[in-house]
Amino acid sequence: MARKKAAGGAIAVVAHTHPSVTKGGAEIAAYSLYQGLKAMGAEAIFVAACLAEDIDAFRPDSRDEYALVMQRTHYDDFYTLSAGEITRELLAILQARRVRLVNFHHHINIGVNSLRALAALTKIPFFVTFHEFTAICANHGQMVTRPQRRLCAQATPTACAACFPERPPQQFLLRAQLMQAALAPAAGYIAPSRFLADRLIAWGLEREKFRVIENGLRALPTRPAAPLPHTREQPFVFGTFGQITPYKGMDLVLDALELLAELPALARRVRIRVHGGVAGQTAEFLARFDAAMEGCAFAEYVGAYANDDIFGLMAKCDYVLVPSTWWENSPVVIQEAFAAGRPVICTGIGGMAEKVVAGVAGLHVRPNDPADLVRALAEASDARVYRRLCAGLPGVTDQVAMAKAYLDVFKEAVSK
Amino acid sequence: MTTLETDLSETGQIPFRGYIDVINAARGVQGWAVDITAPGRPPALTLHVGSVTAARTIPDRARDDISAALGRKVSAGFGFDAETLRRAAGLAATPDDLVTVCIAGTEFRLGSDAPPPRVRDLNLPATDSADDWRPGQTHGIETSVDRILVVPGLGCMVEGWVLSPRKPVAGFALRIGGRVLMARADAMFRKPRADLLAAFPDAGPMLPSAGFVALFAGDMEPPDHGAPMLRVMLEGGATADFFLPGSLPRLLGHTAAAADALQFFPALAAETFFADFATAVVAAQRAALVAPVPLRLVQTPRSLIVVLPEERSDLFLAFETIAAACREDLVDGLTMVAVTDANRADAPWLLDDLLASHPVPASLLTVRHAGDAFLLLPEILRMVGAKRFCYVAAGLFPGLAALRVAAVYLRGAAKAPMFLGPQPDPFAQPDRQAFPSSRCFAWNAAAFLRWSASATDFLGGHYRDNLLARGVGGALLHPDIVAASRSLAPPPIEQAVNAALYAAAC
Repeated sequence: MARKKAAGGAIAVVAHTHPSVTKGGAEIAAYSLYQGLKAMGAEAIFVAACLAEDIDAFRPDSRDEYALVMQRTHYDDFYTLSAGEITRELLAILQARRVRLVNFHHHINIGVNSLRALAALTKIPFFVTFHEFTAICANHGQMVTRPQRRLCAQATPTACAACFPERPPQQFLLRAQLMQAALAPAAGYIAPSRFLADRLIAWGLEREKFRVIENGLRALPTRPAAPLPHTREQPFVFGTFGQITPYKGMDLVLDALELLAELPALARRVRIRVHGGVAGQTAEFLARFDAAMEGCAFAEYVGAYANDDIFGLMAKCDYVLVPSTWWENSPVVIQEAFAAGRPVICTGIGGMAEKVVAGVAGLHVRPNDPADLVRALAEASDARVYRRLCAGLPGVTDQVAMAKAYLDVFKEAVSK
Repeated sequence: MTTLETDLSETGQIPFRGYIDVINAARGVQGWAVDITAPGRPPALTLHVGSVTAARTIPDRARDDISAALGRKVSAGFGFDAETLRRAAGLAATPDDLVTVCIAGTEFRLGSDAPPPRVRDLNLPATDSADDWRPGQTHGIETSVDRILVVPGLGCMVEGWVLSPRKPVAGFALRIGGRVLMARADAMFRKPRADLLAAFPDAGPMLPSAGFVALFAGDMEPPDHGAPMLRVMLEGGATADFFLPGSLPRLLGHTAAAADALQFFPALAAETFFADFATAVVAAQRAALVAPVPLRLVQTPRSLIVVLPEERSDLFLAFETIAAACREDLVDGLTMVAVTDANRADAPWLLDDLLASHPVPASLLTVRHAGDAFLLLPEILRMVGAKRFCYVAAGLFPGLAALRVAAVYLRGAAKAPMFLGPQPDPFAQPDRQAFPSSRCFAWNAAAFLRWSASATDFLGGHYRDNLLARGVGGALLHPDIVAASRSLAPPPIEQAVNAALYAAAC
């Protein structure tokens, strides 16, 4: 690959946090793009917001990576407005590095005010990559109601005020107006799923500015693992990966385990293997989780894992289970499963349903329906189904391919 | 006619004029008073017996003769009714004490055709003295008071119950502080108290009228509400006095809001005393005003004055709104008004942060309540030396279009005020939509200060246009240009009070 530097200044990838501080899908995708751009020879910098109390965890790989240090109290997470000091620092970095184009991943922490200032004070074109619905939904961008956590199909000021009774509907109207005004000057929008793009278009963003680019993985295995051989006695292993939270559907898995316990014949053919950390969960949830892992012979908790180990861990499973209770957009874990050669059993909604073609690369489960999850486990515990799904897995994008797709979009939009 | 004999021109050092037309036992005290430098703001008056301040009132009656002499409509007439005069006389140290009326807080005494009368000259019927009250014979009466709302300038609203097994109750009196107040017959009603049956099983026949709600009319100084006592007056003349808990009285504007009056009189706006109530609550609001405290003071002849929202997210949005205006070079001077108990902690760093990006001349003042900001606007304008200004009330967010219009106005020389109207509220009923109003307008300071000298105060500061454009002509209007983060419709009681004041002022 040629490594000639592109002329005309750097591309800045700006994210709400740095993957050395937190390990969410959005910051990992943003960082992969930055590394992909560099791998292609493009001049790129990575700018991440970082809470002052987390600055010791910030570990840049080079002098092309910057932290915008923010005070927790100097931020409003309803309107996603940051202090002017963040904007000033960002603009100073962009000027010092002669940045020619900015790609924001998320606008939380950085603040929509920074987007507005960039548009008003510079001629630098900017693109926004969405990783969830923060612009639309004040509930962590999940489009899930609170406190019931039901899926929300459309945000309206009155519906949002029902989720947040402490706020009047007028505030949600102002919020939407602020977001749309801040996003309007963008040269283009990028979403990792059609589902996410369509939601944002329906909400009011310009369809013509949208492009869908799949998140690329930082590294791919040399080749996907072969399907595991199965005898009649050998159980099928269903692995869950990632942070263990209610949003990711662990409640649903625990409910399914209780149902499985009443189906001994099926339980003998199934093993649920849970990977990931449980930090930050309630004591009540942890008590239930621990009891299930200790009490079920067909469930085991492996614990947290290093990202570098993920393909090896997935290869030891037959399926990867993604039972999220929110829409998701393009969970990295699905790409990782495909790269590892493993079909996915996921909730049949949103970005998951889009990425996992039912009956081809995996199976779908109805949201919040543990009985349907048990049904899917039973269907999947068949060697013929397993082989068929393994044969239907799509190809996976790596960070360089993602960067190339981004560069094409940048060129197309900026040349207009 | 006294008016014709009084010089109403603005020539002397003392701005007050007034006269006592009548003072006798049958009609009490009646007359008129006016501040000729601010004819729209009637001066408070105090009734004195010797050295004792016995009562207080505000002129609120139309006086066509005074209006004609001044060339503008004013409410200059006042009165202390016969009952008030009788009770005031009861506070006299000697029968030779003089009965006089002064402008409150001054030694300006109103004149009359005759010298001030002595108490003995008035031939007043015997009265209660506050010192005569003491618990004694109860006549079998059981009583309790649930609530007392003290409304300075009006009296006390009281809710309680009484059981009198031997004789019917004829009325009530209330001693509070050094004052004795009588329950107004037209503002008192009895109601059932079935809840008493458990405690008083034999009281069944009395329960349908055991409860009472009453307005005890009369003025008192705000702190003067200690040691309350209730006197129950029975038919035939017997009375019984009862101590009340000292913690019962709640003071309007301090520990109680105007809306608390609705607990006593749910149809308050229909009560005969509502006009007096409206006047009193607004007077109490003004009496409680505290001057703005400057945290940062810069002279800004063309000043955008923004009252900062109390809700934290909206506070951030307000600063982002101003930052956006600064990025377009629309702000020549800025005055931020913070609210002491709400956003005082965040406002200084947010302003410093804003100025680090956009170094415009800027002041930061604090007021105790967001609603005080408009009432204190004359003081604010003087403090920051504003010649022209655009005022934005808390919770309003002028977009860039509005701020561009405001900048053109501030940099121009237009003499008429300009209103920036709110966008339609899709969540409010059609009859609850906000009007272009005093919440967001621009004007020149000199004209505003002239206007404010005679302006009517409204509860919460704002009501419609506060009559800002009245008599000016040619007011400019930019409708649908300012957003709001919450409904601008005032609470019902505020709406009713202000509607009454607005109608009176019109």
